[in-house]
Amino acid sequence: MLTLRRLEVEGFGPYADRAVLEFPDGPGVTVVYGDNMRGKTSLMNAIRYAFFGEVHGRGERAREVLSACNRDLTAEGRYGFTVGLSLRHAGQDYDLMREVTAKVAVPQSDEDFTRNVSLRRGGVVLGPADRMALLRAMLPKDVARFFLFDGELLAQYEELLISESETGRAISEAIEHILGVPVLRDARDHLAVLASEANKASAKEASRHQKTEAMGVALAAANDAKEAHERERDRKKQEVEELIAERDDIMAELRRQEIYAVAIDRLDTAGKDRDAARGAQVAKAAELKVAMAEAWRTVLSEPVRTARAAAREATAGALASMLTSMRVHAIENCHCGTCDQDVPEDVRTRLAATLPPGATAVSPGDVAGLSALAHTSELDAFREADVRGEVRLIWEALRQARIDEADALGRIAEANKTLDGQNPEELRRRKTSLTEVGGKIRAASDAAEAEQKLVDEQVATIARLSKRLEEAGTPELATFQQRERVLVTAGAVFADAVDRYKAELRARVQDTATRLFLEMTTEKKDYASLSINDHYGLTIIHRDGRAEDSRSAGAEQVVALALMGALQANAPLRGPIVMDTPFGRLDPHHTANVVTTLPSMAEQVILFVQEGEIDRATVRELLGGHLLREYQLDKQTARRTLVVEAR
Amino acid sequence: MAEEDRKQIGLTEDGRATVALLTDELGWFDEAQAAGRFALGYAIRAGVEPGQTAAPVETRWSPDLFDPSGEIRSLLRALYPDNVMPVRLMEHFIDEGLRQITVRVKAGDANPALYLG
Repeated sequence: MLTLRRLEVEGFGPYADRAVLEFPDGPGVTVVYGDNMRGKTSLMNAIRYAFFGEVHGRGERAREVLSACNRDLTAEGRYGFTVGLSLRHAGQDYDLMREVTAKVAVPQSDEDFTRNVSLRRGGVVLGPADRMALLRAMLPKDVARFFLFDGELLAQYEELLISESETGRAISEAIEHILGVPVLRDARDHLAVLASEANKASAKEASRHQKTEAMGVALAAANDAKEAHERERDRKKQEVEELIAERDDIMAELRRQEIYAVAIDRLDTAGKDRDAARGAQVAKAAELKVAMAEAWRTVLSEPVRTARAAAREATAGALASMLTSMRVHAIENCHCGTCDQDVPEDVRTRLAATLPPGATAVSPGDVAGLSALAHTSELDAFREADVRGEVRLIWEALRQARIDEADALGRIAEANKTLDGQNPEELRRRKTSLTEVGGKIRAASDAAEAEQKLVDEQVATIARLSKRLEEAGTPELATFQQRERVLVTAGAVFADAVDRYKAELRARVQDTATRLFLEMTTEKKDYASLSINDHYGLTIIHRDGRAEDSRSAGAEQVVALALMGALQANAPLRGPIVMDTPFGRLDPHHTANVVTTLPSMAEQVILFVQEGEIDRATVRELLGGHLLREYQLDKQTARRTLVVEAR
Repeated sequence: MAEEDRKQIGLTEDGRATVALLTDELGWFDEAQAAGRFALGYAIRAGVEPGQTAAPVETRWSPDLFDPSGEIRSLLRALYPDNVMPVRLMEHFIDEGLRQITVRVKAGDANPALYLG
């Protein structure tokens, strides 16, 4: 059991002056309140630094020592820091102290610093070997994530649900580590190594005898080939692990800069929208010009129609007048000039009755309306065109495209404002490198798998050759082969034990995680349990028996916390849970449930929160007697924070 | 000596500015003569009385290019049979049309659809 008792930092992050946090003897919760940028994560990192001697940001990857030095002090030329951690492990008290001092006036890199570390037990300084062994036993680095919980790395837990995920595989290995599986697995692997060595000894022995020499040489060669492929496989696996760490680091960086990533996406989208709007304007402007070339016909249509009607009326009048004139002429001259015949008396009387009063004969040349006939013809030749609807639509589209462009430009300005001081290209590059790293991980995993197949082939060859050797065996060889058989059988026993132990562990983790989850979730009526998979990924099971396919970020966080608590409860290795800003994704009800559940997750819980996540009064009410102490981080300047005991 | 018709259609200084406004700034028309034809039609529809441009003009367009199909000149003959100087009449209507359009554009009507009736 590991318990933290006191943390002391100086010159680290925003803690220019010596800052001390005492963690009272538990069980219970210590809460540290601090606004953003006050140094909550720096305290978490100080604990990490104490254990592992590595400076971290909000990611997995180690950073330069210089990045942890207080900026106020470095501005004065004072570089370096100290981190001290007092702790209790297996009933004994320890003081762990790490001191970093500058070797040069203005350090540029890690090489410019000297690092000192000491671990005292009851006032006695331990030697380096003891120190390293003890620190590894207290908190192995690969399981630290289950003790030092960073909400930023929450996505890692989701990877456990993806069976092919390399990150998930790495985490599930860490989970097995915390649960003690390696004890059995190491024994199994060690026996496998011994069996392999025994096989090689058999091969060597066989090659000394003429009868079995050829088989012995072949067996030795197969062993060599197997080992070569194993080395290559392990190298590829190591590569995968390093790439995963790199990818996690990039992802954590991108998540932290999510606001900038969103701004970049907006900038890119707005840029595309602006270009599309400009393109539409160019197209519509061209269409408008084509349509407007005919607009003169549109505006003239009405006057032309009016004039055309008037001309037709005038033409009709002229024709009527001409007919009247011809009748008058026929009556007066008793002769029709059109058909050149005389007009009898009775016809003249009938014609006279059709004449309007006062009708007189006029000369055809005096009929003014005749010119209207010509105008009608000219007006009829005018080709009408109505472009009103077309122009209206085009103009509307043009106007919309201009609005779209203005809107896009506004969004670009807004995004640029958000990105002020940031380098969008750098963020884009990180996104691109994330994709590249993903590709490299797949390639390295595939290569590792391919090597494993080659190992398996060699194992089959070795088995075949060993069998043949056994059949053709000599008395001298029998002893070697007997030893090999014993080791192989023992290895199989341990391999079986690993599987059985893992199955039991999974069942226990599932039960505990379910209990914690149901305490923390606000959907108690809907959710029945959590179901664990081979990689320790947890799925929410609805009361109808079906798995919840998609879950919110908040639910994800609650499941991750339930897993942490379950591991604490079932692991031989137990310690504090230190949480940095863990409620960012949770609503107030979930937050309250989680806070209430914290004391049952671990003996010692240290919580770094900002009061926007949960206020002090609520924390006090929810934790009651489990609340051991409260600290607050007070801002002195942007680069200086003081730790003040609040209760 | 009786006054003769013009050989070329001219534009006043204000008219030229409006043509530039309609083509270059507002982008209604691809070329100046299209703006001129539109202004002519606009003035006729607005009921502008026939007449002649009083202000000094700068010759711009050949009537044959301005009215390649002869439709405009036929219309003017039909609509204004008493007029004997079609080029001056075209010039007058163009100038008046451009003047009226300028007033509306300056008042904020930049949408060409509003001018089509």
